[in-house]
Amino acid sequence: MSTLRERALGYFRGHPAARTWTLLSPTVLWLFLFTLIPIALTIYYSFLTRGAWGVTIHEFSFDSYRELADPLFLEIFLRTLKLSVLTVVICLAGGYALAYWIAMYGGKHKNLLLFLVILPFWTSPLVRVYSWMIILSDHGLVNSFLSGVEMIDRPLPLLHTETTVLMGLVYAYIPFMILPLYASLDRLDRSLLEAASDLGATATERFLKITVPMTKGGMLAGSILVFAPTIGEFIIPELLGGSKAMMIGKFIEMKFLGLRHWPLGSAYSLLLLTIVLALLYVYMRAGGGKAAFQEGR
Amino acid sequence: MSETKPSVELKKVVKRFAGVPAVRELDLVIPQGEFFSLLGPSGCGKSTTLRLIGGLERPDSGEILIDGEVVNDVPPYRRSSNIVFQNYALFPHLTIADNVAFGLRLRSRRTPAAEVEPRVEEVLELVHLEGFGKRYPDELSGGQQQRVALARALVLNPRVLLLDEPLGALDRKLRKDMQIELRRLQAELGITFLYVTHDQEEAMSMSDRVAVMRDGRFEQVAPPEEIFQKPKTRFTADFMGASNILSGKVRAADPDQSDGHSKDRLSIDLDSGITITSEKKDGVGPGDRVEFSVRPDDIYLRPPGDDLDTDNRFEGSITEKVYLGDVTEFDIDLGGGISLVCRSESREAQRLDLRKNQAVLVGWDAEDCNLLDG
Amino acid sequence: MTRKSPKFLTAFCVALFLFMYGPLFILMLYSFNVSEYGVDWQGFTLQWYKEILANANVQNALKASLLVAIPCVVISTLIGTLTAFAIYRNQFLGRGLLQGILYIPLLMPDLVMGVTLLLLFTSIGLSLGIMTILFAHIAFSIPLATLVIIGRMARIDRRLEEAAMDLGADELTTMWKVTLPLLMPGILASALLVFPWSFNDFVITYFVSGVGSSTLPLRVYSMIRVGVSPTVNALGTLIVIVPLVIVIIGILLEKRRV
Repeated sequence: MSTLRERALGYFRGHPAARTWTLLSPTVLWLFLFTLIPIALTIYYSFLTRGAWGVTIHEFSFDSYRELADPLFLEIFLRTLKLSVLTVVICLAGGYALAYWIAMYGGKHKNLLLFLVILPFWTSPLVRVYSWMIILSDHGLVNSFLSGVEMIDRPLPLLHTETTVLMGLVYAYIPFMILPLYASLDRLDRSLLEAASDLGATATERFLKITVPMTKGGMLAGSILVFAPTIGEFIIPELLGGSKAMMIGKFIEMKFLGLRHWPLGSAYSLLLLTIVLALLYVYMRAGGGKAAFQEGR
Repeated sequence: MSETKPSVELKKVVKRFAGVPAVRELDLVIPQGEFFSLLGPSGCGKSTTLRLIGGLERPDSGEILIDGEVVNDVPPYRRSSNIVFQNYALFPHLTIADNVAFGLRLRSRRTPAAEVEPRVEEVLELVHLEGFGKRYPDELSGGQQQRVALARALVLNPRVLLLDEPLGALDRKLRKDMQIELRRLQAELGITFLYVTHDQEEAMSMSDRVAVMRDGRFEQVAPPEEIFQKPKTRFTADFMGASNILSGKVRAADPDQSDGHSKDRLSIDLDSGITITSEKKDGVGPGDRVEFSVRPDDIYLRPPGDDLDTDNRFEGSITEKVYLGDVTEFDIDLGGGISLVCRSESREAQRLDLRKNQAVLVGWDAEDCNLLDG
Repeated sequence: MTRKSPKFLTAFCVALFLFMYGPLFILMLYSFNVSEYGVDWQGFTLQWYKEILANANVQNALKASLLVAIPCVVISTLIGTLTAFAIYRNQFLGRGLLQGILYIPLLMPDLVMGVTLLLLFTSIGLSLGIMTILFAHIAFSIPLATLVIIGRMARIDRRLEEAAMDLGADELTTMWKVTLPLLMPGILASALLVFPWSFNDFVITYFVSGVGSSTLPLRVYSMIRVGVSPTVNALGTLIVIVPLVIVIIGILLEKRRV
């Protein structure tokens, strides 16, 4: 009496492991092929050397890793770290203000305001960065205006400074900071603030002693969400910074694609990956992942 | 005469969750057409038992039978039982009519399309929700949603209806109305009802039999009057509100002829020195230590000096008086560390002018001493 | 209690919004400017739009982008749903590890993903083109879709499925008639996130596309390297506005259905 369907369902009901792994098979396959194996390959390549004209010699060597100590590389690496950290700090300050404003005073318009924050996620980052070029280039808005009112003789090279790159990074990544901060502020129990007020705390004290400590999770999440992609950024330093403000991202692209120095490019890439994974680990240990990965029964 | 199989049977059913037993070796027989309640505090395993019968959980060992057939391996959608969930579980994306028709419309049931609508109408009338078909669950009140959940289960003509604390979210008046309604429905339809609740009043007012559960086991399975008046264990007594539990040693088993016909009585010496006269119980003899319960409502109070013609009569003082509306509750101190809780009808208490810190006469009959199992 | 916001905070936030949106408005504005160089306003025109839309390279690039984005959305949403079911509804050995690995692509810098995939494709001799771009995009989109759908799953009441089964629906019927309809908002949300991501992706695509193929972002990039120009402004505006309009329509439709 039982049909194929019933028998199949019966089987899966009794064998939960089979059910799980059948569902997971495409994902596992994809992850394996397109995430794990590539990373493994990269590790492999990082231990090789480069021959003439970009041919990779398959011999074990630490050369690439020795290059990590190269002063030129270190300069770029440190600049990258500096810019990323500054980006996080500025995003934290500005982002907190905006998240706070929307969460506490948004009222009916909260959803609309949040929507406006999220909107940039759907637009091309390339175009967004380009739009700054219109403003800052030698014949762009700022320079035209300034020479128009005769404050300068020659155009200011606005497009090739670290500051511009920093501004571009903040511009691109501030939504990543605002969202987790908002989530954390929105979850804040208002009655705690009322209790503090009742006990005599001023607005500033309430903010510093209750609001800020209780939104630490959001701040940590936002910081990681900004820092991780920023250290690997390469469009922004390229378009807004040029050679004066090179970051690792551009450096890797040059080595890898330009010079075809795959072992070196691999080693640098792994460095970035390790930094990001280390951050993720820290975040998970700080209890951050629990809410995100709640399981079912 | 053909033998009618019991509606539901449990044979040594065990269920564990992550190694912790929720249900321990349960044996149970529910005859056809009975209104049977599972009563107990939260965590006692009553919901698990219901889910085992309904097929949402599989037992680790033992057998579950519905209408005489073992259903351990039968999935819930093939069982002739239907569940009314505690939070109603109405499908939010379907109308009321579609919710009720859901089971009917499944291919496996092969209900002719023309039959669906009239049956839905019929069952909605049964639960007094005619005309609600086109609305959505979130437009209905809790009580109405509850009735839709009931209709949805009943339209499928189940052999057993399983109700998991369905009235929990309703206010008191509505709950009482629904209790009467459910009882009436059950009597009219003749279906076996298995009802899970933690409210002992509810269980008693509706059931043919009640099973008091604790820690995955049945403490007592009996009709409501028996559970109420003769609880077998301390737990049951306490749970049913027979909150006066005393212990002592049996002294003698003399026939008592004070009212003209012989009764077997026991005298029990409490540690405090008082002697209680109690009804005899099988298996209990002189020298045994026993526990017994007395219901607060079986205790009489009189001002000192009044007549009180009960088998047990003592003097005590009122340490607390709490007015509860219909009844007034008194805490009485009998000395020697014994205190009792007594409930009297408020009108009576007012007439006798019983006050806090007053001396009072306390009494109850031997039949109202309920000896508990060791 | 929604008190009024302190003035300085409001001013700051408005300024921040201006900062976030200003450049885009300027972009849109100048895409209509007659003047080809410089920023003096010389009149309103649509010529740049006409020019860019007629550009064969741009048309091919658009085709390529859609050829990648649409299959990517379909496949990743499908697989993401399966994965969400597997992870959320089951306890199994290696669950934590799987989730950890699953979300790596989301956190990895684009660059690293590009590099690693390029090494993979060249090592196995796969020629770079639309297919490699598609593979790469799916690798990123599956975790994204899974994450979004799991989020929605958390809000579905299990009792509804139990009720359906109790009423006679087997596991597959329950999934079809109860679970999936309730999961729809999540599935839609994931599609609305994956599509713009794939359509606009630059870095990963840059590494894994060959010489011949070019998606829209890549073409824009090569145009930008030459410098600022009104045709780029026009193209940029279109790239920003059109997907946005599609996404907004998608959201409005979703709100109406629920």
